[in-house]
Order: sequence, then C-alpha cells, then structure tokens
Amino acid sequence: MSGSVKYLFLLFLSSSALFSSSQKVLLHRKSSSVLQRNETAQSMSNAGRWFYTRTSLLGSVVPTPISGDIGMSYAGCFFFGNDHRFTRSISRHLSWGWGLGFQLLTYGIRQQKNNALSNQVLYNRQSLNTYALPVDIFIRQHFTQKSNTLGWYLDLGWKGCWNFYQLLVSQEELDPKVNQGVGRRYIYNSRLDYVSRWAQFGVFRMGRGHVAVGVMHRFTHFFRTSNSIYAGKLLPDLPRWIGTIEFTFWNRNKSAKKDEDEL
Amino acid sequence: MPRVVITILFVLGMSLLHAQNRDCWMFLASSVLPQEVQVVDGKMEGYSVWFHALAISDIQNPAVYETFQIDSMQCYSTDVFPCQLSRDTTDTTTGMVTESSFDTTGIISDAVDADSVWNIPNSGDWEISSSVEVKYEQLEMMQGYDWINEGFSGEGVTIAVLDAGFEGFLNDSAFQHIIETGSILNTYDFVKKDNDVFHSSSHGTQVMSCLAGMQKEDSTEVQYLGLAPCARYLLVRAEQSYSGRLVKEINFINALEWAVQQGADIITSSLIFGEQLYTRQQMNGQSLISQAAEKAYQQNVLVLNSAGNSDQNHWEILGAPGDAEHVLTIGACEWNGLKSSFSSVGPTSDWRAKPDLIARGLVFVTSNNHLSTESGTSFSCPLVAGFAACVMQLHPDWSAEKVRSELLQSATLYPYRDYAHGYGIPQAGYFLFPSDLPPADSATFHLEMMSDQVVEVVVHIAEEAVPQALDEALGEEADSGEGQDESDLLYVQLLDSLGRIVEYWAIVPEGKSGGLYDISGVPGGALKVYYKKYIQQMDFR
Repeated sequence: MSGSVKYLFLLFLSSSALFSSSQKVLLHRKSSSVLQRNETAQSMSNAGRWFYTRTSLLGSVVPTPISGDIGMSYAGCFFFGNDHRFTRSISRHLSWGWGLGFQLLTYGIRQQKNNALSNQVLYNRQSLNTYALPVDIFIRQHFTQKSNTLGWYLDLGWKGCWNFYQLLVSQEELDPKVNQGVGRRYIYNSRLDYVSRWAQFGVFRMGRGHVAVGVMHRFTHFFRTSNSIYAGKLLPDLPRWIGTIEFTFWNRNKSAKKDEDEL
Repeated sequence: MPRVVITILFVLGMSLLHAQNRDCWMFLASSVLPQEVQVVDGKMEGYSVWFHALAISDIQNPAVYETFQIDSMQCYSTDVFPCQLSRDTTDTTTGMVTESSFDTTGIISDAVDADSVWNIPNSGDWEISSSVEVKYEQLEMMQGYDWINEGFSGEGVTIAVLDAGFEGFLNDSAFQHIIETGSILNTYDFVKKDNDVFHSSSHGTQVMSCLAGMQKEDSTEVQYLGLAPCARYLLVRAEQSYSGRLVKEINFINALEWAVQQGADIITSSLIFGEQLYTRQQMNGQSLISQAAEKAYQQNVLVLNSAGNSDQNHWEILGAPGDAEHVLTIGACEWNGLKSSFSSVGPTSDWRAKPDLIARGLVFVTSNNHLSTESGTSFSCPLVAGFAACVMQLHPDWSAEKVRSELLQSATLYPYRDYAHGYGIPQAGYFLFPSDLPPADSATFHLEMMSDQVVEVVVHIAEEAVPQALDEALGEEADSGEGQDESDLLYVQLLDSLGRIVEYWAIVPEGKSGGLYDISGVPGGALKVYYKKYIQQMDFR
C-alpha cells in the first residue's frame, strides 16, 4: 500500500467515526473544572471598564553603599506619594494601568567635612528634597480571583517624574554665646540647577487588597553637571532604591451606582 | 503538500456527501406531509403557545381527517421555535389509523395568527378546524395550571421579595389586583432607609410578575404569569443593583431579618452575591449572608434564591446565599428541561449538591404595562416561590422544612440530582393528585460492562418510538436538544468513592445507544443513570 493510499484510508476511518456518532450529548460537565482550588484568575466583571483607585505611598531610601563625597543619613530619608491610578483587565490574569500623582523625595545628607552640595561650612543636618509629578504605567498580574486591587497582585511598571521643584535645606547649630541666644539657623536653596529635572523609575510592587509593598529603582542619574558646583563635574549619585508601602482606596458605592446607571 | 491538497478535497467531498444525505432525509420525511396548513382559529403572536391536538381536514379529500398531536411548541413574536409534530391520520372509510411525524423547521413562521398559512411541500391543502390553547410555558412546565384550575393562588401566604427596586410596579395593570386588595403588607428600602421601594430598578417588578402578575386579554380573559397572585407581599429593596457590584451585605442581612420579623412565610431573592465579593472557595455556606439566610430558615421561613447566571463566564458556580444548605437554590432550564446555558451550576466549594430545583429560565414578564420576554435565574426563582405558596395554601400546617422537603420530592428527576438540574422541575400533580402518580416504571435501560473500565448504557426501545428516519430529519435542531422534552433526556453521572459527582451528562439516546462511559477515573465510585423515571446505579467496589 503506497503512502498516499494508506493516508487516505486512515483519513476515511477517522472521518467515518466522526459522522457516525451515536447519541447526542447536550450537556457534559466535570465538577473538577468548576472547583479548581488553585486557580489563579481574576474577575472579568470589570473588563472593559477603568477601575479608579487613590493610592498613598510612604517609604524611604533603601540603605545602599555609595561612593563619593556625599554621605547619606538614611534616618533622614523620606518618600511620600499620592497617586490616582486606573486599571483595566486584559485577561483573566492580567490588567494594565496608568496613573498620575505627586511625590516628595527627601534625601538626608550626613554631616561631613567635605560638604559637596554647597560650601565648606559644616552643618548639623542637611536634606535634599525633590517635588515631582510622576506618570506611571504598569502591568498587573493577579493571583486570586478578585479583580483589580482585590486579592493578591503583582505590578511591574515604569514611572517617569518631572522634578518641578528642588530644595536643599541646611540646618546649622550655632553657638548661643556667640549669636546672642540664636541657637539654630536654616538655609534654603531652591531650584538647584545641579539636580536632574527628569527621572525614570522601574516599579515593582506586590499587594493584597488595600495594602501593597514595593520597591522603585531609579534608572537615571540624580544629578546633572553644573558649573556652579563640584567644579563642574557630575556629583556622585545618590542611592537608587526606594522602598514603599502603599495604601489604596476605591469607592465601591460609586462603582455600584455606575453599574446601575448602565442597566 | 500533496497530502494537504488530498485532505482538503476529501473533507470537502465528505461534507457535500453529508449535506446531500441530509436533504434526502428531509425529502423522505416531507413526502408524507400535506402541502399547506391554514390556521383558522388561534392567536399566538407574542405569547408562548401550546398546541394540543389540532384537528385538520383535507380540503380536497374530506373523507380523511388528521389529528396533529403537537408535543410542544412555542411561538414568540420574534423567534421561530420549530417543533416536532406527530400525526395520526384516520381514514373514515376504512377506519385505518396511520401515524407519522415531521419537523416544522422552516415551515411555521413566527407571526402566526388566524388565517396564517404554513406551506408544507408535497401534498394537498389542509385546513385546521380546531382552536389553540394559550398557556405560558413558565407555568405549564411546573403543571402550574393545575394549581390555577384547582383554585390555588397563594392565598393566606406572605411572601417577602428582596430585590434592587420595583420601579413601575404601582402603575402596572398586571399588579392592580394586589394593590387594590391591599396585599402589599409593607415595604422598606434598606439602601436609602425609607419606605419607598418603587424606584431605581424594574428588576423587582419583573420578578414580581413571575410571582403575581396577571395579564388581561380582551378585558375578560386573565392570564397568570405567576402562581401566587393572591398572596400577601413584603417588598424590600435590599441592594442598589441586582447585577454588577453588590456592595453591602449588611443591607441584605437586615432585609432578611426584617422579613422574618414582618411574618414572612417565604423569602425569595434574585440577588446573587458571587464573584464581586467572594472567591469560589468562600461559596461554602459560611458567608455572612448565607448564614443569615440559614437563620431565617431556622425561623420556619422558606428561603429561595436564584442560582445565578454565571455559567458562561469563568465564575460558573452559584452565588451566596444559594450556597446555604437549606436555602432552595433555583436554576434555570430550557423548555425541554435541559439546564439553560447561563444558569450557574454547583456544587458548593465543600461539595454539597446545588442547585436544588430548576424552572423555566426564559419567561414572559410585565414591566411598565408591557409584556416581554426576559431570561435569567432571577425569574426561575419567583416561579418556584409562587409554586411553594400554593403548596403552603394547600398545607398550611406544614413547616418550612416539610415544604422544602416535599418540593424536592415533587421534582421531575427526583431522587436523581446533578449539579446542573438539581432534582428537576417541581410538579403540581405530586401535591394535587397524589393518587394519580404513575407507578414506578419498569426498566427503561440497563447497564453493561464492556470491559473493566467501560460501561455501556443500553436503552430499551419502546414500541411507540419515533422512526429513526424522522429523527434524522430534525437536523440541527435535534443536535441542540430541540424536539426533546425532559422525559426523553438520559442523565448520567459518575460518582467518586465519597459519593460526589465528578462528571455528568445529559444526552439524547439514539436507538439503543445511551453511550459508553469510562469509569477508570473513579475507582471505588459508581455510575448512576436516570432515564424516564427509572434510575439504576452501578457500584465499582
């Protein structure tokens, strides 16, 4: 029997079996398909609809050894953010989202002999603050059946920030005897031309329900060159990792009203 | 490459051959039929109509009379619902009776009214001389017209309806009998905390029409849409929306408590708390609202809840409080008793069997004085609630537990149940005419071990079975279950060693074949089969 004839014969047998089916199955179910205990899927009830949340972020710079002339006082580092986020389901496992917000990042600078950020005067406390408007885009993996921020989820995203205001605050402890009772003096330097106006972060966070923890890694250099400081050279970069804890809120009543209006 | 070409040509050839065979069967089937049937009397448009024994005479040959026994037929205003007609032809000169049947696919149009003509090929002209009877299938499937004919309408029973709003209720003529007789005992809106429930959503109004709606035809004839038009009602708005996000369980729990305090005998709800609030694992009867529903039942109140419409999305299973053990969870079915495609299935996450009962899922409802069709378990549930009210009227001394138990036993499939159909559709005859219940049927099938791992269900062919050639003529409709009522369906389930249903089927047997079933996956389990009131179980221990 040649190859083609043999192939045709097998094809005929399978086709015959197809056309000669006996009883008609109207319903066939396996209970295991209904009760998959380890299923990882999200609700699609919000598919095709933006899910709006407000998120407050608190955090700090992750202690990281840095080289150079700038010493860090990690106790004085602080991060605060407030985001308005919108997520939308893509599939049973994935959502994507974007957000707009505001963030404040403060780097505490340790007192040191060679103060790189201003003059050679020694200070008791110094902080470098950046006020920024971030835009972030993220993809969200869901691990439970609940949609959007409900249930366990993991986000991977990108955040771009415009540092619209920079402020260096220096606190100097004065000798009261010399300064007639004035013991503390603050010096404010703003619109620092040696701080980059733009920053990019990679964002990774994991959460459940209203609470999430995450880390942000800055891809860009914190400083830029300026003739006004550090002899025109680029200052040593500050720590790039920021740890955050996030609290997310959404208006469930409003969601329900929207559903009702659409009926 | 040549193999691909050969395959395409071969499949095309087989398809053509298959199509030609289908046409042949249609020709054989239609060759015994009259050419034209004219409806002389009958009003069908916009209603679910059941024909019963249309008498038809041949205009060209008056000596021959024909009787069409129509197994089941629906006719809606926008859809064509084909059916199978079985015909007894009596030749009055010889007295000889011949029997045949045909499929109405493509023959009977949807807008059937008096003087409508059905064109049927290959014979003479025929005239229908009898009238048709208009009945709503949503009631007929539960033998609801037996309740009505025996004078039961839920009188003396208090039903609490928990829904998302009853907009248009007060102005709908279908409920004027309730309003005029003061049968609305009380109302409360747990969302807005006031007594006005007649706003926000008409879903509750549609639900009410499946309980108490009465449609007047020609100012004299009254058509029942539900079985409890004379019951007393407590209307409760327990949620903002009946779908989407159900936001506050506490409203529902408060509504349950309020209904019990107000003296409800039955609480029916078509609100389902599922995927928006819970995970599947939480559908174990332990959620707050399920526990609250169970508490209400312990206060001697019969609680019914729709199963949900989630079987076509990933959620699939029923929602709370339908997962509570003693809540009667109601699924939806097609006209032939098969589960509606959307109706949520069981079991609960702790493997308790649900739903409990099913009722018609495509129903006529009234809303804003308009009769329309709606689908969903939201409407199956009040249909059964109305049925339960009739039971309570018949047996006012029965407890909620007793009523629940008897409702389950009255169902078409009882004692068989699966996770899609429960025990089937409750039947009024069980309560009204218990002495008329048919005796236990003889075996309609038997099971044969084909090998260690395969069991065959062999159906016993009855003498009055429809000729196989005509079954073939049903074509696509037969494939989808049309033309088969629930007594024709064969139900099969595989149970594991713990008695849990791991796999189940509903099939239409063809000839003697009820299917081959692989039992290798259920060591120590069993195979249970139901067919035409006969149940057999084969244990593999």
